[in-house]
Amino acid sequence: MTRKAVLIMLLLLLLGTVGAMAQVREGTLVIGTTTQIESINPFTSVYQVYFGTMRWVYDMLYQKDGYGEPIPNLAESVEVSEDGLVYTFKIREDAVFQDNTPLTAYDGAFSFNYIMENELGFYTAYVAPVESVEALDKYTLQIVLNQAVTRSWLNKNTFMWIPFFPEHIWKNRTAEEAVGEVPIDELIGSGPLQWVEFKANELIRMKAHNWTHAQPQVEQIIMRMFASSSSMIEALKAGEIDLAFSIPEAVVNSLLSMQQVSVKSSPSYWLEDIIYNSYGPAYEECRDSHPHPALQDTRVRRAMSWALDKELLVNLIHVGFATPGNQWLPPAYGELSNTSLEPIGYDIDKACEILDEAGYKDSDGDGIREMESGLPLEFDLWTPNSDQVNTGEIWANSLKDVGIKLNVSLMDGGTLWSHMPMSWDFDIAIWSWVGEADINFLLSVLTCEQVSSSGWSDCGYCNPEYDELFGAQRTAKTFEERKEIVWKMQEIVYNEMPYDVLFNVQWLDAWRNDQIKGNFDYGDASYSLLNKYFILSVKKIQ
Amino acid sequence: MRAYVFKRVLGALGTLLAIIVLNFFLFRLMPGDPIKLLVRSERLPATMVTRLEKLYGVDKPLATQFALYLRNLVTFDLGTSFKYKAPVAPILMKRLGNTILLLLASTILAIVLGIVLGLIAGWFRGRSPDVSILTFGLFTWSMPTFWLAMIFVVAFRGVLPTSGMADPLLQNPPFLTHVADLARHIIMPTMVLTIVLLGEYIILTRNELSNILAQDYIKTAKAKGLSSLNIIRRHALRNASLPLVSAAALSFAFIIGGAVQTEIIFSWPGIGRLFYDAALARDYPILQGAFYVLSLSVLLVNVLTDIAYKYIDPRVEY
Repeated sequence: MTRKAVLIMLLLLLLGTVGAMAQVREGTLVIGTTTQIESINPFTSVYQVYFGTMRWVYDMLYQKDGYGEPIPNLAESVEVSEDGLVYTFKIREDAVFQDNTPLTAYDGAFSFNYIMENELGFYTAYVAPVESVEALDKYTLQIVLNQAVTRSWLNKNTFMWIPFFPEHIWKNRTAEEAVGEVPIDELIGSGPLQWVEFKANELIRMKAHNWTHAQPQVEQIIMRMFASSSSMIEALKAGEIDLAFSIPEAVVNSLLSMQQVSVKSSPSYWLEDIIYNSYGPAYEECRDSHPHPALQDTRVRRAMSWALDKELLVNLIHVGFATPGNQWLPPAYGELSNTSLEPIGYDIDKACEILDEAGYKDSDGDGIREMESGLPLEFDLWTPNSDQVNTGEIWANSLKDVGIKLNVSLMDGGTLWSHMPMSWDFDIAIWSWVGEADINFLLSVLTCEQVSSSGWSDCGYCNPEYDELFGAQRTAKTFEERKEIVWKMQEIVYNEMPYDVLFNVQWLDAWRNDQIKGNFDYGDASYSLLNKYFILSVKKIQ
Repeated sequence: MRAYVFKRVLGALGTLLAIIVLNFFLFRLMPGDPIKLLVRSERLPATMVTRLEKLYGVDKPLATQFALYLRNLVTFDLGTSFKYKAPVAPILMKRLGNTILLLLASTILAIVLGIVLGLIAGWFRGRSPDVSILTFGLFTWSMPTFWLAMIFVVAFRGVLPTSGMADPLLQNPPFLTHVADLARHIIMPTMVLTIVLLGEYIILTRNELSNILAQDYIKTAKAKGLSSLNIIRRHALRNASLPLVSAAALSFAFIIGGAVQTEIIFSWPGIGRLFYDAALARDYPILQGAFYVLSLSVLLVNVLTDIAYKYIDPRVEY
């Protein structure tokens, strides 16, 4: 073979290799959502949908895998001291910010300290057990805790929630500036996607960025925000979007009749609940209006629950895409959800029996029971959601047979909130919660600390025993120990009923199967198909 | 005429002053504390309450807040949005521009078509064209906007874009491409708003014309041998236009709010939707700014209407 022929062959081989190495990305993935995002500043925007995209842009020490379980991301390895207080991380040396600046442990230390020193927003809860953070060298990060905390808690909270911000961009920004308007070209991370355009309440545009763990299969992703779910569904049917996140249950059947559309339902951390005013001092004041004194009696709450046909409501309101609620932690939390608690079914006779034994009788024959004082059992139910009004009205109808009158009203969320932690002058409400990857958040909303005008509590419940268990579950040494504590906490909630869980709602997503393909087995209970690994698996069908 | 205009403008300034004062206190009457609501909705720690109250100036006494508000209004500084974390004025101007774009076309179309159809109905009053047009007008006037919008979306799905102002896949397109894309997006919401507004102008024109055509001077004009077109153009239309001008001015005041349904169905980023979202979030700066800008617009339209009145009918006095 001549030298020339060999050189040509080598050249062809080289070109072929380079071609194979070069990432082939084609097309734009368009995702629809009805969440209105007004800002993509990571210190101010907190919507579930936003957090889904934030995890595509920023990296943390740990991240979720395709099924929502924590796996190492920037943390290449970790050493833990014997007392469980010192975590020393080796940071990956190949991580690069989207402006091509290398990511180092100094950025990690800066990010943690920036949040802790300035008490910046949403992240404060996740750095609560952290005493100090220091970069020992360019790729070694040391986190010292103020108390030994369960490793699983840390993996899903502290290690998975604190993004690594580029120190060279944020270091001169004060806390006030950090929560203000920040130019989009400064909102860079080291993740597989970079924000390049943002129009509030309209769209977020992201472009692909080389990443270590996996590569985007598309050139760019656009998240379009729709003001109504009907418009989003029509856009999906028209092929204007590829994927619709969190669709309403009522449209599922019409979508399934289209061959080009597929729908996936998956478990979530989302629950709808009945809230009983549990703020003790409000009852002690013996107010003329709310709360009704009978509602502090858990027997009344339990009787009302027996008059609530959750199975019927699951079919009527959620068209079967939910399950009746019972224990406080949704079943999506696996073994930590206390499934041993006996579900309260639908039994009018049982409800009447409980009230009879408790001494609430209809002494004047008007169909409504009274307290001993003569005060009728007439309660007000408020809710900010029209579907929940329907739930309330069906419940009110059943309660007539039990001798309780329930007045149901729709109320805007801001006004309802003003009746809760600001004045505690309400009887009953229906609302919802969406939990996080770790159970800690949902458990925390029932602690005494959250009962304040700026806290999370919407029921005013405060129980020192519950609080003690809350502290203990965070520092449990093993999973079994934590499970035992958390089951006990759920039992307390079940018995005292500050909340009666109505439904465990499922995520419902739909996509055009003639426009995209990907690993649809992926998805997690926090973000469903906004899971990073799913998004990175998506390809456009040309 | 000059004195008339001066009196109208002076009256408008007095109204504006009242609006400025009302604007500040009106939204503070709504139940709910915006900062505490923000803390809850953004999952911030309780310690952020003090910081945010200071940042947005709501920690100061009400009188001080009012004085600062008046001072900032002079320089058109409408503050910073609690939700958008950005200055209010640019947000408002952009959204107002988007709404005006939508409303201008639909309002002009509705007025022109309404007058033409109303004239036909009025001229043929009592006969089948009148019955058909009147029925059509009543039907469109009573149609719910959101329902009509959804019908259009379903009917034209795949033919016209279902929502938004622009195709997000088009990045930095040439000017003509951008205009064509905007045109494609604006067709459906414009058609919806036109149909919804049309009925009022049909009925108003038809009724006014019916009254005018029964007058003696019209009989005289016919007796003189003037053609129907001349009678309408030179005698009837001018007299019928006064109530139409009033209706158009009044419509303007309600249109902005009424467009919110269309803006929601078509995800059109307009001021109606902005106002609605801000009300739910208790975003005072946006609410105040939007109310101020809208009130100013309505005031301006009313002043111009009054001036137009004087021009159309010099006998008008206030």
